[in-house]
Amino acid sequence: MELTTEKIGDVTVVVLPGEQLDASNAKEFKRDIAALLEPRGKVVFDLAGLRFVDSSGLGAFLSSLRQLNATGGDLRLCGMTKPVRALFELVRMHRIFDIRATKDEAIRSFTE
Amino acid sequence: MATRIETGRTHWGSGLPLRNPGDLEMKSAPAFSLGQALSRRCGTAVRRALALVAGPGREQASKLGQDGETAARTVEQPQLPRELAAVNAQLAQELTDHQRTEEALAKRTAELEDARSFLDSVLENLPVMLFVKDAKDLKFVRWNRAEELALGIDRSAAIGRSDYDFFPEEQASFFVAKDRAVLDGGQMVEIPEEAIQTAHRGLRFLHTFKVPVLGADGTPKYLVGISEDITERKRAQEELARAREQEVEIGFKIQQTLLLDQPPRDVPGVRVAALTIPSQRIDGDFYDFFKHRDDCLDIIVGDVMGKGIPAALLGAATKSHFLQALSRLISLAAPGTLPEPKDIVTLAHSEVARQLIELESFVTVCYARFDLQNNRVDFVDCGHTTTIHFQARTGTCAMLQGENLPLGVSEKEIYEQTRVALHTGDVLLFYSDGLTETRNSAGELFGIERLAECVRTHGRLEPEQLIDQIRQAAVAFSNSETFGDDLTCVAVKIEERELPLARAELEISSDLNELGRARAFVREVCRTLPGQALDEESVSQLELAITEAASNVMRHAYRGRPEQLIQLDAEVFADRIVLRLHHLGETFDPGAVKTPAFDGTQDGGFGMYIIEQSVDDVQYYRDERGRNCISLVKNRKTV
Repeated sequence: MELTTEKIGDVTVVVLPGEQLDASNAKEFKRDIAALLEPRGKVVFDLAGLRFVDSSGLGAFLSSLRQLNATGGDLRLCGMTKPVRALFELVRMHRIFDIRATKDEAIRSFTE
Repeated sequence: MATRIETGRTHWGSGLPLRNPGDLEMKSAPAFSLGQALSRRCGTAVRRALALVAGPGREQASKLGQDGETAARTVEQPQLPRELAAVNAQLAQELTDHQRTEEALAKRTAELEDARSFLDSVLENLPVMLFVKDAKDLKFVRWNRAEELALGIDRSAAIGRSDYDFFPEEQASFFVAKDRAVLDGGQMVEIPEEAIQTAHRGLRFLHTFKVPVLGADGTPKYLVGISEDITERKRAQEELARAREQEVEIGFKIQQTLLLDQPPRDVPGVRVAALTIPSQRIDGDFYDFFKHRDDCLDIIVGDVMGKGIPAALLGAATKSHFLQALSRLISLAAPGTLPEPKDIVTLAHSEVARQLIELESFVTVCYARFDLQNNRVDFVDCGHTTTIHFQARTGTCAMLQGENLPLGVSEKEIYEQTRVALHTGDVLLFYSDGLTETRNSAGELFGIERLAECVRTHGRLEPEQLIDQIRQAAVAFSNSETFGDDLTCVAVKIEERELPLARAELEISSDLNELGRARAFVREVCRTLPGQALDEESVSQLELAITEAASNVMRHAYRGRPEQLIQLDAEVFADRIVLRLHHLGETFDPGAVKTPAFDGTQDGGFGMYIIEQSVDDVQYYRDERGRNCISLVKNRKTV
């Protein structure tokens, strides 16, 4: 999966390609993102382009969060579209993830 | 046998004759131990007697040895004084008596020995285990061959020991307790089953009799135990019980898979519910549904005479023949027409009648065709229970019955069908006699009147609820959750025939990459909705629901195989949208999925929950083409 990354300070911002993260590509995402989740890393997933996420995509996000937390790092999600936000709220994941409206907010949150 | 002391030959009872008079040894046969003592006594007596006579013969008398014979020989026969003669005679008599006694004793001993041999032989060779214990200390005094073989304990090891020396303490205590009870009670006791641990054959089960043997004084002297090893028999009985259980299970499976179909769900204008409560013995009830087009539903309800697996198999065979007859006649019929129910029954019967007659069984059947376009039912009742027709307009029940004979009674029977008009809200109840013939504790039958009353009372409910009310009534009546015969009923309710405003179909493969196509299909349906548009949030929810459902089918029902097929269809009604997925993968049991944890500890298993939360109704069933079906209903807001 083509994952565009940007390093701003010590924060890694990853932009997800395509409009969907579902059962057809969630595994691929999990595989390819793993390398970008450095120990004690500060990572932001920019989900602005994502129109659709299903439970498999959700699972991939969760595993990324756990991987980072386990090494002392953390994850932020930003730019969620309405349907994606609706899913997160449906399964109460909005309480598990730190979700910010914009990329800047997400980056800044690491220094707060 | 008189014995005379004389020269020559002398016999002691049946002892050996003397060959040589000088060869006088008092030979006594082993049993006759008395002989020697007596002969010694005789010798002394004779010596004394002769001493009386002696005078000049004294030095000869002193020559006497142990035996009086020598003395008798060497003395010339003098004139014995009378006292001597008397003593002699007495002696002779005593010897004779002694001889007799000895002989009698010998004989008695021989008889005893024979008897003992006989008894020993019998006890040894009896094919039952036998032991004898001493009543005082319960130690074994006897242990026969069968006992040795069964327990692997040689008699030399057993005799003189007790149960505690061979068996685990718990078992030994059990045996001893029983022994004491027998001895105290003075009566034989039967122990139908006792477990005994053997060294070489594991755990065995014995059927034992214990008998007290009393002495002359009435106190117990011995305890005799006779046992039969029933381990094999017990095992055989257990296997038989297991086989019977298995048969019931098999019958149940036959019933579930072959005999009892799922009622169809997607027939507009009709709503069908079925109830079946299997009994311990499989009854041979069956039903089946055939949906022709969208406006015609055939229902067949049947009951095979008899019980158990044979009945179940006959039921399955009958169903199969109906299916064959149906498809044969459909293929022969002019396009767009359907064969008449009576023709279907006639053809099916012709195939099956001979077999039924040979098996001396028959099948009652009711074949009903619901014409939903013309609001009527044509039925062929072949000796089946009276069908109850709840009429919505009047709230009363009519009894529908035909005149045909059951299948398998007469090969020449000609089947007639009856037509009845139907109206919205009407309910037809088909059932087997297991329902009406349920008895209560007073022996009364549930009966058709009570059933009709139940239908009258609850006829306006949905058929599923009506069926449940009937079930509750039957359970309350018989005061039991289980019934002697299978309890079967099918309720058919005529509804407003609602046709969809719009309909769309799409077939995709079971490849995960097709999920996007499924979403696009849903989006398109929602975009072109007749009437009020669906809000964005609802469209998203439908997309999510279809994605999760299709994904489940692909990953679980089809186990990840990407080349299988999934048919999607969408039907739009004024008040709702219905999305369906049809597949031929493994059937999914929604009940087996637990509600997920939302604390971030699991990253899978949310699919079911998401589907349920995204739509207003989810159903899992088998459609009339035998495909597994998931239907998702989203209500539309009606202005």
